[in-house]
Amino acid sequence: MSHILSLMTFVPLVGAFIILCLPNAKQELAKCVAACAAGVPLFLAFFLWRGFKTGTAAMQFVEKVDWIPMFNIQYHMAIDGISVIMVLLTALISFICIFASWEINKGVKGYFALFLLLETGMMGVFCAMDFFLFYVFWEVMLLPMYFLIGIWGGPRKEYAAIKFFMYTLVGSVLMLVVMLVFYFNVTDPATGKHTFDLLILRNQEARHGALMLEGVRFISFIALFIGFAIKVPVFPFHTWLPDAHVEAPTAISVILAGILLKMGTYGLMRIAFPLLPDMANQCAVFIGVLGVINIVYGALCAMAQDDLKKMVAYSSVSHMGYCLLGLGAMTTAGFNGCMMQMFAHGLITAMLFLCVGVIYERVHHRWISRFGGLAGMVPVYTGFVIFAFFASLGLPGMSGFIAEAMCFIGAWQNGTPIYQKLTVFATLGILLGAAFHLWALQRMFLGEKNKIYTEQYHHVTEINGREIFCLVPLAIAVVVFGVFPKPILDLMNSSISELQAFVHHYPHP
Amino acid sequence: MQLGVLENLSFMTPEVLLTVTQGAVVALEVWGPKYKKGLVARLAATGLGATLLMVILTYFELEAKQRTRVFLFADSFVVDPFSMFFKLVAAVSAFLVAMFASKVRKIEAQGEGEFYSLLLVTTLGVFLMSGVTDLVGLVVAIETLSIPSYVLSGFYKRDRGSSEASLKYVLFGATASGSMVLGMSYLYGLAGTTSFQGISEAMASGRADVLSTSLMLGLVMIGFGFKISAAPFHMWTPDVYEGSPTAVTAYLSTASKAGGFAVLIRFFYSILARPESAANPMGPWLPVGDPSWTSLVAVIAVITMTIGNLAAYRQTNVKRLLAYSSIAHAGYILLGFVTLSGLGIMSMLFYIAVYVFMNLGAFLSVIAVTEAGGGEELSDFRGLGWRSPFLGMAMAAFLFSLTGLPPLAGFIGKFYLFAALVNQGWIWLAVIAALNSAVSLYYYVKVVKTMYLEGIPRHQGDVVPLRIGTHFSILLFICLVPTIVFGIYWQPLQRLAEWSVGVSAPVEAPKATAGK
Repeated sequence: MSHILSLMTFVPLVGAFIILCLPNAKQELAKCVAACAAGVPLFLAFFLWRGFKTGTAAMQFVEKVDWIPMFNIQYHMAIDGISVIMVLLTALISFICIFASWEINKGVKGYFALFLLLETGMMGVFCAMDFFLFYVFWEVMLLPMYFLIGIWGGPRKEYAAIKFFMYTLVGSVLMLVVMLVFYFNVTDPATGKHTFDLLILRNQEARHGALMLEGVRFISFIALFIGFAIKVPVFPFHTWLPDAHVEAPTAISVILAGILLKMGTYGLMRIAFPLLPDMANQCAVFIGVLGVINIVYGALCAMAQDDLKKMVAYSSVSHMGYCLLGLGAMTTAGFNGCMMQMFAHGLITAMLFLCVGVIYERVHHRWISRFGGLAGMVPVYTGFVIFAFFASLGLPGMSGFIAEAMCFIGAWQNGTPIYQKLTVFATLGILLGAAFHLWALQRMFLGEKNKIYTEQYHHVTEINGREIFCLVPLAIAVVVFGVFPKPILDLMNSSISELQAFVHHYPHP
Repeated sequence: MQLGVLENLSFMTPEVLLTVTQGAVVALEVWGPKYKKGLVARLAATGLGATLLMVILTYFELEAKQRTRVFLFADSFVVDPFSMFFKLVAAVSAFLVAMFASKVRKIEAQGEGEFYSLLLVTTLGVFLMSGVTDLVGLVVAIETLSIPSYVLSGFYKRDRGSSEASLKYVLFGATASGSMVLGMSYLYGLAGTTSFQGISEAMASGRADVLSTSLMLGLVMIGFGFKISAAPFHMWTPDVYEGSPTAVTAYLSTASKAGGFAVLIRFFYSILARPESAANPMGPWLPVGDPSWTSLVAVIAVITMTIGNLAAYRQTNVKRLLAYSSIAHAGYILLGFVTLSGLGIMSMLFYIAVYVFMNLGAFLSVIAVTEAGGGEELSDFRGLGWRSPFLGMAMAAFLFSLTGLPPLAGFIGKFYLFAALVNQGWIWLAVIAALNSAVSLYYYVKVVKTMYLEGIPRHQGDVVPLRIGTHFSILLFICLVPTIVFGIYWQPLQRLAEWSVGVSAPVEAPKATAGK
């Protein structure tokens, strides 16, 4: 089990190669191979969870091999409490998404091969502890994502795909330059060589040269922040998200919202904050303010949408704002809340997008105003939607509530008046969140059938077994971790506390 | 100890082999059997293959002797790892181009003998350019490359575009060469010698004032800038690249450009710079005299890549698009030149090696499409990813590698260039270059989008396949392998590039190393 992280990362890649080698006619076989290749990481994720030692902030399951010794680039995979949650989430969501894409019948081989390549990239990002390796995985995700949106997407897929690609790439090239600045201005005290190792890069005593200048550090932090903020997405870099989500096929929307957005906040916690703690402290209020803007603005935008998928997309913008508020708080509770929200939102938004996919597959549109009274026709489906909506609006007893509450507590605990004002403003988001969810629910499922668009009701059939199979594990997780979040909190707690203490130790002068 | 002519030639086996092959090609064309088409192509390809082998062998021989530097012909020509690196690049490029051209019907119809003999002479030109250490030799070498190139670009005699390309190339080329020679004549006047070593000493002595030095170097830079198509001497590139036969374009954009960079680096780094410590050429280099030329080159690099990337946006012809992209890449490579460090040279060498494979691959894909009945317009690439899956995938890989996305070789190349910049404190330049490469994604993806995302030409519901044949597939695969492998494990190439860094002539006893 010493190579468990490499296995989880690269088994999907092997699966992708196998799929490419299959003959074109064997579509079902390709899907089965994909399911197996995504199943292995999920299976291993179980052992990972069992084997993960809580109560320590140290890196676990470490794999370290020299990759390019002449530049001291290492293949360094490891996880701590922050990574492990994302790895578990990735394994679960990816596996479910294979089944959510079972009905794909155009270019099946290509679709599943790209999907598995995407999973490799996502796993790699969460496991890489070498900045260079992290960057490679980070970029590797872009290509499959571009093709998955661009080929299998909706009507405006080309526009959406290139917009996603361009936004992310602009962010990541800035990260590349910052990475090099760190490489050349940090010396590993043990070997005397420059290094990309994230654990050494955060060592403030190993620095020299340009990194001693406050201006360089500030610009580096801003560049890193923009790189990650585009992914989150933080207002005003969020405009790619509604386009990409709306045009992407269902399973890809799930991956986008469930995992890719979290990479932004993960990157802040893994790289931006520990590498530049003093600048993080300086910019904390700014991050909190952006978080509140995200919460309120995202919710208002969601309320204005008539396209159900776009509404869900904007609700993601709103919910990721809680993560930022928690991060900006600079308290342990806030960081915990951010992490918990990443996990909870991953589960809930996956359910939401799956539900949107179910109705879209049947009537081929998503206009809220063209529905009405669906509850009487498809009661089981309605049940799932109500469950997902309530989870999303933060009903107590579900994981979203815990996360949001922790973010608020964390922000309040910061103690300064500005944070208290921010917290008060942010609670407005809960109200707005409830409003747009319930309003959509009412317009689509309750009341009478829409009189104008009656022909569309002929196609509405009840949710099928495969779709239920995708939704149920997520629903169970939402409730279990909503009632009893301790297992998740235990996993992350030590690493989060260590991170908070580390960042706190370097206040801005 | 001066070596005799024959002893000199023994170090130049690759060059000799090229010349012999060229003679044989001409002889075969004139006296050989007329009915056997393709014989000349095979002979030329075999000769180039043998040359490539000789280059590799000489390389190993040099490595065994540890950085040996052999000066030939009264110190006007040097055989060192640096020159061998460029010979390797040129030989690979020429070999692949020759292999590809052998299946191009239009070249066969026009007369293979002329094409391959000219191609061999241009390759000889690049070989000479990589090793010259003397102004006169430099002019001869550059013209050996240039004059056959003018003819090659106009090779399709009845084609107006091709003839126009040739004419443009000649006019621009002659002007550039003229300015360069004028600049060199001033240099000779200053130093009283034509050897780089002597000029360097004259520069160091402080005899030249800033104004005249700038004038001289500026004039010389026009010649080099033309060869590597750096702004503002890039105007010829789109027209010539679009009009020339695609095989020639592929060659001009790789081997010819590499030759330009070889003389550029050799000239400036042996005249105006010196390693801080002779033992560690990978470290920073010190400028000899006034260091402001690096800022000037930095500005040129920025303008070059920005112009290339912005102009490529609106192109609808794939060859023209790739022409602008190659201008942008000249800008990227110049970044390493600016840094005045061994790491900078190494990153340039690394990038040039990687660039040859990915850029050749992209142009070769265009040839393959054209020969399979398609064309060079973007619309001819519609649905290519489905019509010919391998070609589509390979072309996409080349384009993404040119963009600089991991895990492809182009990313590693850019990574080292940016690393060299950051290491020497040129962070603003690195940021501009990084943003430029992000912007370049847009037009590369335009091609990929056409291949994969736009309507697929169908015939009665089925995708119309486009068959490119095994010959082209194998050659594309040869380009594809390094493009991917050097993106995942590039240590060998880095070692090679690092070892080839030493450019400037050693100060102490240059001839002593030519031992037997």
